Amino acid sequence: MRIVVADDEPDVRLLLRLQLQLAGHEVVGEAADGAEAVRLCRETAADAVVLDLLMPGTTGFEAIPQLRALDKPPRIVAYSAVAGEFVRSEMARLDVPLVLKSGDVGPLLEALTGEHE
Amino acid sequence: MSLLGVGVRDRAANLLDGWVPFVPAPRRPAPAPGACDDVTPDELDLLRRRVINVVGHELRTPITTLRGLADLLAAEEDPEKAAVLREGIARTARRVEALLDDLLLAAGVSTALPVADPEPTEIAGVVVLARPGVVDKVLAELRENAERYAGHPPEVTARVEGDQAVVVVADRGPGVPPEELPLVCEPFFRGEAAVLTHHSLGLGLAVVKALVEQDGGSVAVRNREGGGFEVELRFPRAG
Repeated sequence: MRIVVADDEPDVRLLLRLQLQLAGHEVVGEAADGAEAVRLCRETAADAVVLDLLMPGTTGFEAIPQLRALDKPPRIVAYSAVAGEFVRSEMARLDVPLVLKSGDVGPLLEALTGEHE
Repeated sequence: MSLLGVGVRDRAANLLDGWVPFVPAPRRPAPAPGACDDVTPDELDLLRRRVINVVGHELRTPITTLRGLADLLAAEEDPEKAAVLREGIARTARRVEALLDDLLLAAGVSTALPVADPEPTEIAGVVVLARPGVVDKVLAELRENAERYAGHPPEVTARVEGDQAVVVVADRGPGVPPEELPLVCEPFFRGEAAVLTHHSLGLGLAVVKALVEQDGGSVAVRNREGGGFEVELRFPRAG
């Protein structure tokens, strides 16, 4: 799977890139905010995007409708340290799988491939 | 501003489980204009809940990163890739350390600074009395705030007023909503926009206030005419 990772923390991007590569995926772009994520997904026609929600500039929330409007919309997985009631309900309403940041990459890989749906 | 059909205040209030809005307690006397006043005992319970929420959320990302990078390092055989992982671990550990330093500083526990008496320190041509490291830490916090919220470094000016040195750190950014001005020096306070867009403990100005007051000074904040935000620091003057 060709994946764009979007997080404002460089070391989170490093971790995601290595974890996803180890799982056999290709990271085709790294974005520090939502606008860059949209641009990279458009340019690379990525299959999926791992999207942090709280980022400076264009947030992950704002990027979701823009990603959905692309000619080849990627599968979106929200990857967040914050998962309060608002975040959970919004992601459910938008039908975006939400994965809480944790040391275990398993749930993220399952969400990317659509397992357990 | 509206996003996903929900107002900013609603979104900010609901982003974190148990998020506690920063509304001054009704019994609290109105602070002097622009003054950074202390949290009253009545607000201690609210503060405790804010601490748990904010610290819990802000520590999750670096700790997750540490665990993930350490797992990868344990399995990595390529020395060059292992070096990249070790650097990432060191950077992230320093970030956690800085978060904890700010937490202790804002609480008045100055373990992040050397125990020493105030000594003459120059700021923008004026000599103030402050403990070693205080001026650098205070200016670094205010510079980071300006760059984060105004998008440029602040202007630092200083003047002498009687036995005080008055240092003003000012930017030309969007300023602070008037209702948030009395709250911005409270530990763990984060403006509505910041909740959505920046990872932070909300301790920057609380750290500044704690450090300056420990050295016998005071801190006031205000919006600038023509746009922008400024922080006024009053230190005892040297000499």
